[in-house]
Amino acid sequence: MSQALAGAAPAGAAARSPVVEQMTNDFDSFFRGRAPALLRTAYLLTGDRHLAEDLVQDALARTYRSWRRLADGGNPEAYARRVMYHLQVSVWRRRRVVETMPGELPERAGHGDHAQNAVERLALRRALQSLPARQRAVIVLRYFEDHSEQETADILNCRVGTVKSHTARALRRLRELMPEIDLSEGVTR
Amino acid sequence: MNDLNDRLATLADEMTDVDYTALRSRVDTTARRLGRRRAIATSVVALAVAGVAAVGAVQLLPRAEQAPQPAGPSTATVRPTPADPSPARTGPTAAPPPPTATAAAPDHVPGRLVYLRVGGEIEVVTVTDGVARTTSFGFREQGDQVATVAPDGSKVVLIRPAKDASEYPGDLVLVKPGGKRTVLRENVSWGGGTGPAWLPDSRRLLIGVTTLDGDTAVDQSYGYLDTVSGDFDRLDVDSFPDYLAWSANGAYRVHADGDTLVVARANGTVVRRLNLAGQPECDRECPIAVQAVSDDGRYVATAQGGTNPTRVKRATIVLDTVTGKRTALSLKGVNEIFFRPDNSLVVQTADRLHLVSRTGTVTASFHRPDATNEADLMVYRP
Repeated sequence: MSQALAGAAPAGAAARSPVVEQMTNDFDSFFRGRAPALLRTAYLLTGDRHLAEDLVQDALARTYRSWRRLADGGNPEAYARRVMYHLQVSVWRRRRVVETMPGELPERAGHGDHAQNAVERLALRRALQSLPARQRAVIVLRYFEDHSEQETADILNCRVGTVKSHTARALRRLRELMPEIDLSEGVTR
Repeated sequence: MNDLNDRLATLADEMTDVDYTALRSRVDTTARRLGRRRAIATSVVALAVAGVAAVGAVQLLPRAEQAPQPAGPSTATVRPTPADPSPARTGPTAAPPPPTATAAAPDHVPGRLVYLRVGGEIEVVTVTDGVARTTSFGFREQGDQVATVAPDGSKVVLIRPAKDASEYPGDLVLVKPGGKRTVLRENVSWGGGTGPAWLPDSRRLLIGVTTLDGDTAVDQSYGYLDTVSGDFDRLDVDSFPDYLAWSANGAYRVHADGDTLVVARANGTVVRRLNLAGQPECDRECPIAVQAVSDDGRYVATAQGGTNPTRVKRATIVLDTVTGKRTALSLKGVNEIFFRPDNSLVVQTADRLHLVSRTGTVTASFHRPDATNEADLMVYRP
């Protein structure tokens, strides 16, 4: 049975119109070009590689379903990112993320800059994970993707004041957890 | 590398060694799953969700006794597509399925369109994922006014003025498939921008009731009328919200208050007001006749005032209630406009249906189903 159904796939694929074929190719190009960047953002949002892939998978699936509209004057990457942020702050996914809190930090002594960088990355990842999902999203939007407060508010569908308050709380928390971090330059726009 | 920007970038660098081929395949699988889920769920669940969302602070009544839905979901709504050939479960060794074409190349407007045709006969035509079904609600009777169909297409209400067509108010009549009529309430207001307005639950109506002393109106009351139980929940408002329209998801509603559009959440909390006094149409009639509201309450499709509030036609204007700006539509002969969840548009012209992007670009056009000829598009549910 499954063999028969699986065998139908090429037939269905062969029946696709040139327009559909072109759109699929366009989406493939988009995927190849932008998936790595989306995954980087997703990783910051989730703190977990597998969850990041899940998040990008869901966001791109929705993007794919809207591809015809997006490809015609839309902005597929912006759409995908928006979907990603909204999925990430949804309740069920937030619950999953909480389960992936990283373990204890490694010792800081040791192997020069490389080890130090690893320690810093782990510390930041852990600090990000301690933030509520929306605060984490605000931090990533503002300080990783370099969006303005207004743009961040638009993406998260909230008010600028909300973005400001989330930002302030998140930075306060990050300072508590990572007192060595310099938040005075380049991050307080 | 001591600020947050650089630290985040460095942390993001950990996201390496991704199997992009597998991820691409998973995207396809998920897209296909979403398509299947949507095809099945929209016609079954969306109405219920809209109803629940619309209730807001108002009492939510049991739904089991709701009338049968002649326009309800049928198995025909689940369309086999060339791009959806494989079962949901595939073995782990199965080759990745080809990218689906379902979402990218629709051959019809996805979701449900509900049309009302009032000629010698009252008919409701639902087009669910491209499949049309026509239901007769009996013959039109002399004096029938402001007929309007429930969002799910299951029933029609109309006003029958008590004395003659110019008399206010009238009997509110429920019409069921086949034509059976029941008077739900007497002395119901209509005319101007006022008329019975369905709530998204397809069960209740917002109506105005006039108290008469002889032929003289001495009081007006407004409230929700339950078409099943007959209960009337009076609202503490001073006037009827003219040209009231709800978003498809039931989260927002917009009405006209003079030359101002009032955007409110389902529970009545006003979100914003947009004064239309400066609009070019206001030389004659301001475009206050709201036909549709986007799910986020931001955009409205409107027509000039003076139209039948229960069947707004020629809603050619899409307004951003936040900025006051319009969406530039290149289409001519627009009759009706409704919103999709992403704020793109479904536009009905004389003989075609169009999908239009938020910015006004036509992304797809289809011939309108023959069964909908001469009918007014009343409802769109994605």
